[in-house]
Amino acid sequence: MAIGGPRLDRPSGVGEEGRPRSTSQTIAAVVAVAVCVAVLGVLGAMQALSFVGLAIALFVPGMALLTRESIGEQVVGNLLYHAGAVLVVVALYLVGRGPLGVVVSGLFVALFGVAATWSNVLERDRLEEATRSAATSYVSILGWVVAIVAASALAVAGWNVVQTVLRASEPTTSLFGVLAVIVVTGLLVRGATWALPVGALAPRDRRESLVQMSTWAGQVGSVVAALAFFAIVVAGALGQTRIEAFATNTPAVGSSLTVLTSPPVVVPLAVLAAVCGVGTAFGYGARKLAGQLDAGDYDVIASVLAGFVFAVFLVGTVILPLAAISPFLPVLVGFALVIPVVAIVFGLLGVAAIDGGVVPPRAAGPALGACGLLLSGVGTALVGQPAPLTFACVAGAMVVWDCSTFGLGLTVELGHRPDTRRLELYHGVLSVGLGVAVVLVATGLSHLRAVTGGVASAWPAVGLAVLGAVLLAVAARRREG
Amino acid sequence: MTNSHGRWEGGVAATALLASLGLVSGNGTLLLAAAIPLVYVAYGGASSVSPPTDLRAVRRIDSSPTAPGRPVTVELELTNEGERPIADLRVVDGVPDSLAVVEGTPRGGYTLDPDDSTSVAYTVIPHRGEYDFSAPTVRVRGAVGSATTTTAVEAEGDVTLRCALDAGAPPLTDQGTGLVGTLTADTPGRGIEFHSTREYRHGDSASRIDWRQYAKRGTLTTVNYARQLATTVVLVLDARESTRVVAGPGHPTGAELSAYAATRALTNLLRGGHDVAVAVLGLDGAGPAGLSWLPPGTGSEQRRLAIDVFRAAVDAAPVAVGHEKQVQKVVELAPAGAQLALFTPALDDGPVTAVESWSAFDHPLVVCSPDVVAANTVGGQLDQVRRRARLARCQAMGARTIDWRRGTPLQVVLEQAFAASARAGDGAGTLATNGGGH
Repeated sequence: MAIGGPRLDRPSGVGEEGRPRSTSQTIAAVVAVAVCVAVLGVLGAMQALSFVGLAIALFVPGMALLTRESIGEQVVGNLLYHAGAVLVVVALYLVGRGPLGVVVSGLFVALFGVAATWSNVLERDRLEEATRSAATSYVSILGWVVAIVAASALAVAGWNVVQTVLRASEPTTSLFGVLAVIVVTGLLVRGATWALPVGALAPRDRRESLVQMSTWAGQVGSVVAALAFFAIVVAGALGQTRIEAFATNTPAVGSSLTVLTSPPVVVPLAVLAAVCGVGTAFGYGARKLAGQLDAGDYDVIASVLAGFVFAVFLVGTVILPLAAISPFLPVLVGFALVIPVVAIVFGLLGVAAIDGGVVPPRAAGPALGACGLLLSGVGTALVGQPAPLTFACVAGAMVVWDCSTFGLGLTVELGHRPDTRRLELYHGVLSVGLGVAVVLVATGLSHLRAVTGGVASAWPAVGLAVLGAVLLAVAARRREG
Repeated sequence: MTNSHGRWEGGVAATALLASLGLVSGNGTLLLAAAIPLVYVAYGGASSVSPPTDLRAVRRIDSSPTAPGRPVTVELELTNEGERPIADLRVVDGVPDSLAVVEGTPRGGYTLDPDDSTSVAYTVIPHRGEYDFSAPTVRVRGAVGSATTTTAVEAEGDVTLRCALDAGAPPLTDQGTGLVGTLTADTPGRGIEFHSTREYRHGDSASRIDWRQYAKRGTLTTVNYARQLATTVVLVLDARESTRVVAGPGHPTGAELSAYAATRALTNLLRGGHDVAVAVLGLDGAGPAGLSWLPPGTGSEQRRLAIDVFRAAVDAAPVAVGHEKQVQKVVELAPAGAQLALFTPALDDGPVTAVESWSAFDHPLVVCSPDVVAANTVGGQLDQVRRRARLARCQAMGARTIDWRRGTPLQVVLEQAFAASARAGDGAGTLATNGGGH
């Protein structure tokens, strides 16, 4: 049982590498968050934490859920992934600018690394699977946005036609208008009865009667559409003059046209046409999708479903209201749709980095966490923030790396079943204690440097001494190996 | 074997990066910060560890020999008998490859102070055989975890787990109970268990007169005792291909569990003085129609021969032989009035066919079926329904069917199977009486 935090990975038996043991991972996460809070608190930028935290809290679980098997989990995963990707990029853009950009970006990378380690989403196969699912759902989102916008345009156009018919004063316009509505409605009824699986959806005891009714409705729709089309042809052949003369001289015809073009007749026909149109589109689309996919292609189905939900949200709450304000604003939204591509590209780069050995295959998360804190440390030093902040960031990076890799080693050797909490706490306390001691000593030396003042010329020598020590350490380790 | 693991190459890189940036930018803070990763690198490099010579391991296996399919708990206790703490101790017990761990884990990670102990406990389910545990593997790491040493520690205590068909069924003693049999019939006769009383007849033994009744009422009555009978029981083991399935990884097969139940039944019946014969279906034996057949007998020698037949049946590969022919041959070889006891997991219709054939003859029938169906899946539940339907069909044909479910003690199952069957129907018609007395 983890000390704290949810589990989004699925460790199984003995020896599965998965994520580090939970106690070690908790210590690393606590240290990383503590350093983040400390740095942002000193910088007076705590609001960045909530924004960055929200983005990571959506994006990382989304990545984790994309590797699950059930459709529901994958749909939610796709939605979280894309929403989180947009927030991540926007967050990086907003908080990563300016003189503190390096610091906050580093903290962001560190928190992402810790979260990714916790849910094991940076494991090579899982990263590839999540990126592939995200790419599929992104294509689905684009497709659905186009389809919804087109359908909306069609609906608006249809409504304009209905309005024209309702407001028509000339008999010719009324006649052609109502006949056109009848033709379209009849055809769409026929299409809906063909596309929708009425028999499969109906209750068993009423299946036969409903199928018969559906067949009859389709036939009626076809006949009515054909008759209306014939009437259009005939009316076209007669010409406008004869029609108007006929309507004027025969009051019954005129009143019939008036009735036929009245709202109680036209509006229900239009609504019926709209409903049947939507039904036809969905029925046909679902049939094509089900026919082309194997039983195991749940990720594609989930991508299509998630794309639809996301597109409806995007169109309904963002694009259409913006279009009402200005036609150029949806173009900006279009650019926003490019943002998930950035996350997908980074995912692909991550896979390539793991394959190329740039990132350690099992420890990608801890490496990111440590590098992020290191980057923050460099940033705080470069912008002249208090030295203890820099030391805390660097020491925090070492503790995160140490505890995470220690926990990973435990997972590899012992699996997830044995209770190793005491062992991990012992190691974690040692590591954190060493970090605290080193920070205190470094702070003391820094203070001493500040007190002694103008011996700045000595620092290059110090730097060279440090580099020399590094080279010696590398050489000594190689000799041991 | 001592190794040093390079976990701190990144620390060296971080030091180099910070120092370089500090030099380039003239930032003293970065130069100082470059020492922090270096401290971790140095601490890791200075980490040393020695082999755990003061570590004592004791293994306990809770029951050996044990019956097939019975969970066995193994506990490995580790004690630090040295004066220095062991900061990071990882252990894996040497579980034999053919044993499946069904609960717990044979691995553990601990921190042991001097004189401190800890233990690793896990459960295995053996099938027939002997399992030798190898020495536990122990890995000790330094405080910072860079240096490790791996070694095997010889474990004291139990090193072998034995699983046998006759576990829990001790050999027959040379002296029996002195009784011919312990199955009781409905009709009274000579015996030791009170059955009823009747009016005294001239010639009745004085030892059987109910003197207490005479003292009370002044009438002479004779006590009838429950008649002890000896029977011949033919234990039929179903060892066909369909029975060679397991309930889970590492579990014994259905044939093995059936053989174990048959072995226990064999011991109980022989101890009771009955004659027992053995037949095995599904193999190409030396007997008629390929049947593995052991004629009726009694005593320790019969037990030994029968157990050998069961062991050979479990170990042998099943052969596609004529099931109906072998079933027919069983009833031909069985003595008149002998009880037929079929031990089968009932995973196909073969047992139903057998019971159907045997029910036409005048033999009391018993079917004892160990449950090896894993009912935690939809397919398993369907198989379980089918299995119970087969047992119900056997019962409908007049066989006494016992479903030996997991968790039910086998002794209870066997008592049900064999104690009640003698009371069913007319004892004179279905049981062979050897006469004799006590």
